[in-house]
Amino acid sequence: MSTPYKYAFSNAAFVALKDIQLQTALDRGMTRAVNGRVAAMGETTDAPGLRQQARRSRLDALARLPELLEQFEAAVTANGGHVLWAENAAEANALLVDLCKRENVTRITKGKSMVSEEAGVNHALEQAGIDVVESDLGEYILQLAGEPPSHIVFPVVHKTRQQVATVLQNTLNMPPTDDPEKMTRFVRGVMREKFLASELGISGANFAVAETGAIVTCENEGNNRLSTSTPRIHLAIVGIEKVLATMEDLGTLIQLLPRSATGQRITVYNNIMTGPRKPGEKDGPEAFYVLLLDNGRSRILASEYAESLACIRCGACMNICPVYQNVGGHAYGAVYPGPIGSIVTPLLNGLSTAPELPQASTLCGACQAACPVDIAIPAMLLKLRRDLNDTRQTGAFWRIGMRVWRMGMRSKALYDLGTVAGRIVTRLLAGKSGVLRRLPAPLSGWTDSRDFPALSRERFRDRMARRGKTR
Amino acid sequence: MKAIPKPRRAALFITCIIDNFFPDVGDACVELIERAGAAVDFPPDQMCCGQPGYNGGFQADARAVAGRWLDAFRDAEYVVTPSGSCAAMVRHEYPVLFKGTPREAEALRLAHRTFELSEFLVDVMGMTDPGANLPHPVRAAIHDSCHGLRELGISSQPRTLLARVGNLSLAELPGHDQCCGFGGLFAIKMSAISGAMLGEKIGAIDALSGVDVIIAGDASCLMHMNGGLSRRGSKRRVIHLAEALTGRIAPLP
Amino acid sequence: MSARDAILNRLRKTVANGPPVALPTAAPRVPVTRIDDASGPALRARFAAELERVRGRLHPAANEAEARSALAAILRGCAAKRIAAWDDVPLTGWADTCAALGVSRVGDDRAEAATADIGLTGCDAVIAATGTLALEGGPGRSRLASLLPAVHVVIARERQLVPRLEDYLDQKRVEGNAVYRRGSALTLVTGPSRTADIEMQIVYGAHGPLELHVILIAE
Repeated sequence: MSTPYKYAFSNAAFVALKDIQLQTALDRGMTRAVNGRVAAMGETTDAPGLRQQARRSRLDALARLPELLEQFEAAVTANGGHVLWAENAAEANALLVDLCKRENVTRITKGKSMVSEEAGVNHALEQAGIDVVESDLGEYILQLAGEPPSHIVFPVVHKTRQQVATVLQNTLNMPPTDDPEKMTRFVRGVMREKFLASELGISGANFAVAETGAIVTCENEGNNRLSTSTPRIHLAIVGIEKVLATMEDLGTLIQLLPRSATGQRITVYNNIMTGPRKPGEKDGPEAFYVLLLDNGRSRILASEYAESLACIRCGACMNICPVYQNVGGHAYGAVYPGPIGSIVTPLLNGLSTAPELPQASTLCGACQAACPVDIAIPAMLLKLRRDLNDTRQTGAFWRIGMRVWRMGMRSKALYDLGTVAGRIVTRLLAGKSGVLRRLPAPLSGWTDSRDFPALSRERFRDRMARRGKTR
Repeated sequence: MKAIPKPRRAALFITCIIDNFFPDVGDACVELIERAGAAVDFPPDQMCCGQPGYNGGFQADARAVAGRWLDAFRDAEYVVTPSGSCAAMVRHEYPVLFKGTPREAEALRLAHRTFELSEFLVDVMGMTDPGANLPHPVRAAIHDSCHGLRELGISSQPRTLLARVGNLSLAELPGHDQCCGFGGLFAIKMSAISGAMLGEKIGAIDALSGVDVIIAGDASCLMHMNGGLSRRGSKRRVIHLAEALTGRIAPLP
Repeated sequence: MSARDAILNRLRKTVANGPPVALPTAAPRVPVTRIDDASGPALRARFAAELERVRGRLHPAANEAEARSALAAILRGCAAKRIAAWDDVPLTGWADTCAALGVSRVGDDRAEAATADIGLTGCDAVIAATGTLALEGGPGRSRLASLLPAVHVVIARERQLVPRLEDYLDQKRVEGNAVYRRGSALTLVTGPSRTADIEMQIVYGAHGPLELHVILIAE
């Protein structure tokens, strides 16, 4: 294997912080999403109880994953559909290209699917000479702009309306406007022709239900319905972790997902798709395929990060995350950004490709508090940090610093020595102001944007000793 | 929370930051615990709880430091600390850190007996009125420190007590439950992002008119936000909850 | 070994020793949405309010005659010329209403369906808590009729009202989940199509219908 590409998160973040248009777009977007979730979860019958109910459904499905996948496969087959299995992205793409060749497919419309981003499906199909169009408004704008999505629910949240207008004018000769309604209408017209000419529709799945063999997508635009209803073939590409045991589990989750994602009580369309056109039906695809993709998930299930597979991709953790809010999704350099992405990306691609991501958190815990399935995101970030240290991917300064800290905090004499020395040095340097305005590198990060206080003249413990209050 | 018998003594875990930077906060803590009806012990061998190493992913180092902490508080019936973050470290992370080690039982015992200050005062000691009066009217706003808020559920306790401080009125800080950007080594390793988060917090503080001070429950947040305020030349300061509850609020310069 | 078997074998090995993550303690299931009053009139009012919230339009009708008038008004309102419809639209005389207004029915294939200005369907449940209509698939039914035309009209009955989505799914389970075998898709529709992709500003009428009309017949 060649040396893995090591992604420099802090460089990308530094640039993102200076991008005024990005900051404007993020400000406009995230506040709204967060407020929406808080209101929508708050009005439920029992928000904490529902989170645990949803968590239980997801964890139960993970605990019975092989059995449920087999049940799902049997149900899809009984419904007249076909299930394909792929170990990794290359296998998935090969199966897809192969299907297109066999079925003479040259035009594909696609509904929003993160797992297809993960597998690089579009690239593989284009390489094979097949025309693929993203049909979700945001995803289509990004396809035209040649950019990846920056959020798993709001893919184009990083762009202002003016930037969107520029893309549409430059690529599709849209008449000048930056009115979201006019732009949406314009794209609707363009996409209609694509849907009607499409031979294969690719969708993702928000959930796959073992009990009924249903592929479920939750959406607002109707593009997913169009992608899966107009072409003669529908193929759903699905990560193996997406399975739920029963329709009862689905009933809870398809409501918590939108409440957490956009603040909606339910999305406009919930498409519960169970196979090809049935006898007597007027339309619907003639053929129905489900492509189950592992791509590292079975390995993650066997690790101490199994819980990350419970994620339902609502995006609530990124909406609330102050780091994400400041740098946006692209800075993470990965398909899955934000707090859950900082766990999933190193797990999928290898920790050495993204060693900074587990550090990109203050551990403030807002992500876990917002998660509809209560995933212990901060705890897993801590474990990844431990893994970084265990594999010696941490800088020498910090490793040595930790040894010094450990020694100092285990010996009262060293503690006294260190704090007294610290007091003398900082008070000397601080002078009358009482603060240090410049610390040496790498501690200078602190003083880049804040002062550092000098230590107090007298420690609290010395006061207590003086008063004879120590015991 | 299930009621537990009111303890007669409590061991004060002052935390390294308060010990070295904010000794007045320590004095305020002693006053408050005594006022609540418990005698204060100060185990002299206490140092760090191990959180910096733990949060950096240096678990073995953190365990070594935490082991010293267990030694220091071996005899404590109850431990009180003016930091949600350090209390959460002992309560939630010690059981993880010492799981399967010979000190697991000790760690669990103290995990169940360590409380953040306002939690101890209100939930354990049943305090409703800290008995403080300010000489002049002061308007303050609360910043909810992350670990206290989300790991210990501390939100009502400081508000309950502050509501009874004479001459103190409370305003709401927009984004009061949003992280100030400290995050330990994060502030140094990811200083640009941390600085941006701090900038937002300070922006929110600056936009509050008529508010004299911000009150927070964790000294690390204090150090961080005050560092930012002082860098920007702001006269406003963030003070510790214990200072506010004992009337230690200096007038704006 | 096939990818299928390799994946399943790995998973089996992992779960053989119990759940990879401990499950929260089981508790009786609770429905998501709060409903304070589940009486008929209350459900009807709740559905009306929820539908309005998502910009659907409710046309209450005391009987079929009123429903046909409502349909005619909608047809005139959008100057409809061509209609896509289910075979089993639950309103007698709907075809005559269309014919009287010069609205002709389109064929089933997608190119034909795409020329319709209006789509007419029934529904299988009216879910009060979220303002949702359940459109089951099956013989004589079309997915495109409720999707391609700019205006979608649903004929519904008050007796189809159920409190919540959970109640509807339970009903289906009691019926042996036959619905999932009878049709290729069960679609839950809650309002006209919309998007908020550009600066999170809500725009109604993205790729699906721009308008959703529900003619709710009392009898």
